[in-house]
Amino acid sequence: MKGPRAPAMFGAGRYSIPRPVTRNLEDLDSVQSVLLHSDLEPEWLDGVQKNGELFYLELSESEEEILLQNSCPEMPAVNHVRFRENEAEVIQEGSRKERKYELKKLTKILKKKNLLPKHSGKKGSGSCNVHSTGPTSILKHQSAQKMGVIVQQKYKDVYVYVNPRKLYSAGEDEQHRLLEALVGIVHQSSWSSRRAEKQGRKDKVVRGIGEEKLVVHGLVPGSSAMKMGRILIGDALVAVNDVDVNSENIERVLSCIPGPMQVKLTFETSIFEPEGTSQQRYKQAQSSMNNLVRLLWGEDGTDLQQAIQDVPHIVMFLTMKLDSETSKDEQEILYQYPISEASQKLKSVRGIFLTLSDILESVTGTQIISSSLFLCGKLVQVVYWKESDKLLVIGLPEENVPLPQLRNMIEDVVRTLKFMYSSLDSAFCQVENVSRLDHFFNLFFQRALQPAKLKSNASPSAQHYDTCSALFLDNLPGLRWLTLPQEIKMEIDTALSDLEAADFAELSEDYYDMRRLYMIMGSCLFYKGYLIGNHLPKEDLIDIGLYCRHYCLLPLAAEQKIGQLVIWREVFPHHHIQPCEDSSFTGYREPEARYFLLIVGLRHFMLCVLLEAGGCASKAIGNPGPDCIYVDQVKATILQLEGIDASIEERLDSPSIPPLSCADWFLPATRDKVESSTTSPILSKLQNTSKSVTTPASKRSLFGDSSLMTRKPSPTRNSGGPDHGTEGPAEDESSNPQSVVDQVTRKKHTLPNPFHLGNLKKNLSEKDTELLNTIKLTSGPENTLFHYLFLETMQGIFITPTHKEVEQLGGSIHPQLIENFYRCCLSIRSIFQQSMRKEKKKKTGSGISDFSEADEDLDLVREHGILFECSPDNWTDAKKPPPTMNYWVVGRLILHPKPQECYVCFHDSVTEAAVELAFKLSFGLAT
Amino acid sequence: MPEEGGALCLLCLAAGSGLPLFCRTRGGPPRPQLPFSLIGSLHAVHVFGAGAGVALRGAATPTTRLAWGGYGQSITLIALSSAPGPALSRLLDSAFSAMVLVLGLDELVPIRNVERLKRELRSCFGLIDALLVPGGGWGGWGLGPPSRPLPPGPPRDLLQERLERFAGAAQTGLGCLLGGRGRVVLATPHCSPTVPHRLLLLELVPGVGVALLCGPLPPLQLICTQLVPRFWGPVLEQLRGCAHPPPEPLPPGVLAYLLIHRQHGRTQSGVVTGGAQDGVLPPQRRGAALRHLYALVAPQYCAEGGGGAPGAGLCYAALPTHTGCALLRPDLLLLLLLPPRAPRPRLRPLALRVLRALRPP
Repeated sequence: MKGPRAPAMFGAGRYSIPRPVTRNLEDLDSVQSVLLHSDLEPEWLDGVQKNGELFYLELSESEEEILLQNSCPEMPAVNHVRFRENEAEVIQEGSRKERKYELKKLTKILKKKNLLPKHSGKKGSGSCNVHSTGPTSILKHQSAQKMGVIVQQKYKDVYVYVNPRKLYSAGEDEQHRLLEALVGIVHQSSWSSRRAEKQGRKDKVVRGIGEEKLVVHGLVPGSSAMKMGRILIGDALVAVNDVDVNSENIERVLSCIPGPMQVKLTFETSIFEPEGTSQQRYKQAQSSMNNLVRLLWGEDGTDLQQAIQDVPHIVMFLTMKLDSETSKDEQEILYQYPISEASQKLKSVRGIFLTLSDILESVTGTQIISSSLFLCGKLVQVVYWKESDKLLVIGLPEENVPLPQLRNMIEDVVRTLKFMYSSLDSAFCQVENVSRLDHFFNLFFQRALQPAKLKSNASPSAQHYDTCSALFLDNLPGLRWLTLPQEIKMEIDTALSDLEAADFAELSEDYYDMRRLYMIMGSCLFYKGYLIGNHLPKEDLIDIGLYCRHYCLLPLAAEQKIGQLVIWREVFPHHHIQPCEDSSFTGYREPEARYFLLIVGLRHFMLCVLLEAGGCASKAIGNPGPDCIYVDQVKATILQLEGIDASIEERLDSPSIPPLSCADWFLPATRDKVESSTTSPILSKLQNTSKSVTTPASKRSLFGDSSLMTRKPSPTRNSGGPDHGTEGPAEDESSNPQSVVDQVTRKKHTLPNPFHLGNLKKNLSEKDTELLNTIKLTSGPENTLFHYLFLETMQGIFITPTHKEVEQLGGSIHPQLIENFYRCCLSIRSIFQQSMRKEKKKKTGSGISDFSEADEDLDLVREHGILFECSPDNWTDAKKPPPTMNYWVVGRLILHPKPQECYVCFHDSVTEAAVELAFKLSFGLAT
Repeated sequence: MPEEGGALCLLCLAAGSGLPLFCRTRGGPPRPQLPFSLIGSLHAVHVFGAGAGVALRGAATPTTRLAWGGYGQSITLIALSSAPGPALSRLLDSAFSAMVLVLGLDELVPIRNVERLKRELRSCFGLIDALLVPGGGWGGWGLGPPSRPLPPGPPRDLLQERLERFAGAAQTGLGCLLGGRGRVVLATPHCSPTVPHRLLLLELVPGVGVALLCGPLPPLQLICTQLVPRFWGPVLEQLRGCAHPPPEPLPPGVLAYLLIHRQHGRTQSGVVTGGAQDGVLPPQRRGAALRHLYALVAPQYCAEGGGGAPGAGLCYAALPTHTGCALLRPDLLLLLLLPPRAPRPRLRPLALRVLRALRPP
């Protein structure tokens, strides 16, 4: 297998340019191992950064087409290198060397399933201002076939004003002095040669080693090249005023420019583009639907930022220790984002933050938590996080993020950053992280200030649900769990266990007779953003969940089909890095190891794997990039589980467990008022219901189950009626269904009836009746549960109705109720958190003597409830007051054995205590 | 009744020069006067922010809350508190109002002579200390004076008429009748003057007094010797009835209540002394529990707290020792302390019954 290879061996159809002889075997082997399986050469390979990190996101083809259709010819500004640097990456050559056959197995699986990850159209898709001449590109050709269009090599002409008398910088690299000084393009030949090692098949194929291509590695700030905004890192300069140039002759060509003039630079674009720049083409896709995707691809999302430009918000990392010798302006600012006028004001008063933090610590002996400022007509809350002599400060308006929430957010930010960079210092104090942090905080503020814009739900009701719950759910210390039938759970667990065991094929140590690279610590599986399987300790799960949440991966997988998502990075799970007291007590110590996070997404699935290097696996050296074997095995695990998506969808489509009611069912609709002359909806009694259930329309809308059509009248209903009247408050009398006729004739308005629901269920069979009674949370004849959320901190998960469930309920009042529910959850939870903080303080005995022991338990709120009254919006009857419906939002905190929080929203007629609901919910979770 | 824990300190400075005008404290461990450097720093951050167009309003550590208030670019008030409670900004506003009442707005904005102002401000200390160490427990929270309105009926109408005529004779519209333990029984309109006033407190019968805010005329002598006998002499019997009003007919199970009339700026509260059983909050701690409940409810559901849940009619908080319940109305807030594990469905009917008992139609 060694030695030069004829082009034909690589697939003559695809490679049209002869490849020169490679010089060293090392190089060759790596190239071979890739090319041998060129069918499967991972698309993400080019996206791997110098430090081994990878964030590769590719939409499914259908999603991409939408993006491309909406493309606009405007070319946005330069900063496209934000998220992924274009620097040459170092892939661990050694790790691949002996694995020539590593991918065969997967290939077979993939081929059988016809699920080969496809090269997306993006690489060849049209960029504006390009003309198609010149040689055919290898990659382009390939994607062109996919797209069904012949797309050829892209060139673009850029006119740049140059002035030989005014040089931007004297480049250190003698070789390309003028290129940098005159035009402002940074090209480093050393980079190219390093690149060549990896991309040998490309670079060297095209050009001889001597005449290196002039790839743009950077732009000199302030230069005309930079100002143009059209020269992109990764482009290759091929001609100056139509004279072909390369690394050999560029200086000579440029030195011929006599005086100030405009020159035409011709760039070859995209052929060697790593992922980072190929994505930039998507900038043209201004589809509002894909704000999130654009943000994730590290594009600027200028319109997104403009929308929040006037909102004062800021994040700053400040140092309190100033170097007195170099009294540079703003030297205390180690990092800040964003740079806008509104944030400028906050930045200018950073002295307040530093001083307050300092004096409050000296006076009270405790760290400052928050301060509130009034500026630009808004109350802005600023929260603090102090670590040694550094201060992290985040400011947001109270109207967008209430203070208790902001306190949670800064905690989450700190935890996420520590997970990603091990410490705040290493996150903020390294120059190369600046662009990554900009991206990080861009996402952070977008999520905080306009969560709705990042969700691109198909249905408005799901969108509304997302929007009003985002603020609350995003800060819960848990992930959204989807309860699944036992056999599916089993299947998932088995698949995950198989992966984690890593004892087969290439993953086993026997295979290569060497230590494996990584040990799999655990994994967790998401489907459409719901956690459906978890084999990770809670702390790790939360860490990974925070990361996924921060990068909006969960909503992404829920709404958009992911073609392929591969994320790889070193992480610092604090659970392992800082072993807690208990573990050292038992004599066990966490090994000195390094940890890596691998996330692979396919379609709606996302599998997160935590890997450990060191410990019992071999030690990680340098910055290892993603290992193909592991990526492929994770991918294979997802593919293996693909079959279950039908069952999961079925679960998502099925009526919710526990069953929910729609608030509108408890109110007569106003339109009935106008239409039905026979009976007033307010007065219409429960007797209606047994008749009304026979209308198929209402049933279908809820269950989509034709078997329900053959049902007998309900005996329980009749007996249940009077009970209902006596035990419920007066409002209950009005909580009656719409008239039957309306439901049939006006399909648009068909609302399922609460009593239908109960009746239908009850009358299915004896067995089903029992089932309903066991799954229904509320007692009494009817189901009066509107919404719920249960947080189980032991496992780090929460359950709440799915989007589908809420969508199925529909209604016009119900969405308001949900909005209210989450708003209340925010305030209830802030009370619980306060309560828990007090409790903690009491336990640790660090209570301040100012508080008497006795007073402290006056804050230990265990349950908090709010009663609401609502009535229809569009009440047209002036004669009668609008009917009202009362409902509760109740939150309960259960501290033992582990904190659990339960929030429920139910009709006023429910008589039992919320605690019972809570327990029922938790039992439901356990099964 | 011992005040519940926490120190409270109010600083007043001249905004321009940063010179401290006074500092009043209460509660907490006896501590020396705050160091000048600290006062200076606290003032400096406020001034610095104002210069940049940013008004510093407050700050918090796990144990302490701070609030800044700038008044007319001449007076800066700073409050430090380690006690639980709602926003400190209302305390600052009340303190400034007290200063205006005694000295007049013209004396304070702008400051003409700092040393003289410093001396004159001493006359406000009594009022400001009353805000810091509230008699009824609510003054410092800016909720208004404690009150105990008379039940409707002929005695009330008679006394109301007398009060208005008495105030009119004293050339003012601002007066109130104080019943048992200094609670407001009757009052004329609620408003705040901006020019200095005399505050007159006259005891009419044991336990019952009348308070007037009036100008320099008529002289005290005239009021005491002529106006008081003329207006109050005929109604001595009714006045005596105000000294020890009968307890409100509260429904059983209510341990304590606090009714806040938001528009009139008045509060009405009471602690039921009975009902002390095992597991139930003892009477001496019910006042503190009410305050905690208010501190919990106000920021969440009252408009001035910023947060809120529009449409909320009632809320409750269940604690191991008691259940707190709050009836939320646009014009009033009724807080109730109930025994632990009070059944949720009963809360609203109970709250409505209490409200009816406190505010007979």
